Amino acid sequence: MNLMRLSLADVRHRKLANSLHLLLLTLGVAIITALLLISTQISGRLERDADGIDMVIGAKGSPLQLILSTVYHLDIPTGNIPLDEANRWAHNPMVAQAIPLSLGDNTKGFRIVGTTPDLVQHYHGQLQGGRLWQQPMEAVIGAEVAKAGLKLDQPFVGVHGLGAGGHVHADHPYKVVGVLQPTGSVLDRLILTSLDSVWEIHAAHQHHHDADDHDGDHDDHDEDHDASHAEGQGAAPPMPGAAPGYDPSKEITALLIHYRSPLAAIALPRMVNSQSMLQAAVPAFETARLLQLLGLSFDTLRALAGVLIVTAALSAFVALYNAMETRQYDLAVLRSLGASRGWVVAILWIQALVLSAAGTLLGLLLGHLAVETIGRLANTARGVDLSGLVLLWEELPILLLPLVVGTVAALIPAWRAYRTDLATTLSGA
Amino acid sequence: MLAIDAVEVRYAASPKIKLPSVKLAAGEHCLLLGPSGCGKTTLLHVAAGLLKPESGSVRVADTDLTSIAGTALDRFRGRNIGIVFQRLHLIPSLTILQNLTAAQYCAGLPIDPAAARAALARLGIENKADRFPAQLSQGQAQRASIARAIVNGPQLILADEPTSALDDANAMLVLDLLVQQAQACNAVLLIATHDARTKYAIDLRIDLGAAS
Repeated sequence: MNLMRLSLADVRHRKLANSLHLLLLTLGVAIITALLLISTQISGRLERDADGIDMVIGAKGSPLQLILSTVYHLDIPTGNIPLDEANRWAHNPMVAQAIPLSLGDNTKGFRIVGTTPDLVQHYHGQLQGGRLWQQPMEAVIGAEVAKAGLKLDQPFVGVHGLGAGGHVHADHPYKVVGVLQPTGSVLDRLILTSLDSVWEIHAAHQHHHDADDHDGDHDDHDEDHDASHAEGQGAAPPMPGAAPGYDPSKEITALLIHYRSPLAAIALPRMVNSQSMLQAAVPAFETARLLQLLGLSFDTLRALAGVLIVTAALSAFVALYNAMETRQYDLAVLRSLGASRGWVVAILWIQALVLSAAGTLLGLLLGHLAVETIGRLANTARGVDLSGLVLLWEELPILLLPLVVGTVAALIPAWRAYRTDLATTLSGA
Repeated sequence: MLAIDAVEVRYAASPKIKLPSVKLAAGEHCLLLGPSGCGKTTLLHVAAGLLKPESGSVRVADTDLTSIAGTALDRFRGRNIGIVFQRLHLIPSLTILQNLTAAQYCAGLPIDPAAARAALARLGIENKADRFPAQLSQGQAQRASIARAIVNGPQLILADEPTSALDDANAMLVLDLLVQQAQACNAVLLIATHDARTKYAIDLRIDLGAAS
């Protein structure tokens, strides 16, 4: 028998009323936790994916769409741009690095991206097995893709378009030559290959339809060989297209640009937009815009969670206050048995703290569980993979919640219990 | 042992009430008689230190209750005064045994479940030790509240209308039990009652109705 047991016995005794405000508190905390986890992970992921990409050059259209399609690989591209035009900007003195991207095919919903090994370096990708691509039709797959079933040395075919159900390039199978370690970035969901592979498939595709001969195909092969070989030496020019003998009619989807100096941010995007048929979009700006759009709904949900928590606090308060009406006798009896005023206050406070702490912990647990469930149910190939198994520093203030809610809820009943007139209470007046 | 002398009390807004003096020696038993509302409960509350008198003195054992307050008074009451309330006031969330150990705990005494069980055994309800108050009959609950009043071996036992809710046989039984337990503790027993059936069970009587 001690204060804790005296308090807990009463909590147990009023299961129904107590579980109601426990539920309210739990739901409020769960929603806030889930929101915190989701918004942190989404914005963290968006920032990480766009990190080091100062500007994207692509075809005219919506700048947000350009960023979504080429940086986050979520939307469809705005179109293609001529390689020689892109190249002109890649060699601009204000550009430190330009990574070309060529999109168009997928397999099992994972995008096949024609690019240079610079993209792997950019996201600090490390090979888990195999090697980087050297020949056309060799592919390196991200960790998520590997998890979805593709293995080293396994052949696979690309499907035209960025979703399932397109034309299958059955006669041009790729071969997995490398698997990357998880990077926690968009790289995990991509299948990387050389630009030439993408060109080859679509050129051949064209040839088939035009009933053309196979010579052009063959030429492509030689040329690819040179280009990828040069890359392999490490002293690659910023653009593989700069290699001698490149075909000016070729197109890519976009260029990911890293500025040489911050000053470029002022001039370069405007130059691209005004002096060419291309479009420049700045990920930082578009990401901020996107988060702002999403932020509105996050804020709404946050307000809702706040209302829930206030309601829960109020219900805890009302429940405790109501319980006091009947509890007054019990507490007065304890006083008559020798308990001091301080004890009685402590008993009420402990009750309120135990209830709100339980609500908070359950809420945190539920929130994490919910996010983990959403993360597992959601298609990892097309979105941000959410995890409920991480703890954030931002969750710490939530742990203070029971102290505040419990104390506030216990305050008035405790004050009443402290002031109560024993004789009047016990005689049932 | 119990000495209430020249005590005047006042409830919130009502005028002062003058209470009769009471003087009882150790081991003496006394009935406090009179119709409802004549001040019996008030006198008991004063004797228990639950109600602070405006003037006069209340001595229990060698302590003047008017000279101590707060925690000291609560502690003194817990250790030396056993109270059987009219409404029993068993704590519904605790078992019968826990109600008794809570009394030990609140009085700041070591928790002794064996002693608590012994007290229940003396009142013949040891088999109800792990039941909750709501699971007991009125008579059993009455015994439980007496057991709680005596578990700390008080020097003063106060009972407020302990027989009013009971039938004839049980009323006399409870009265006997109170007297027995008071004798076992050599405690002063003061019973407030308007129950005519109990009138002649105890020799010493104070009639508040006649006094006022």
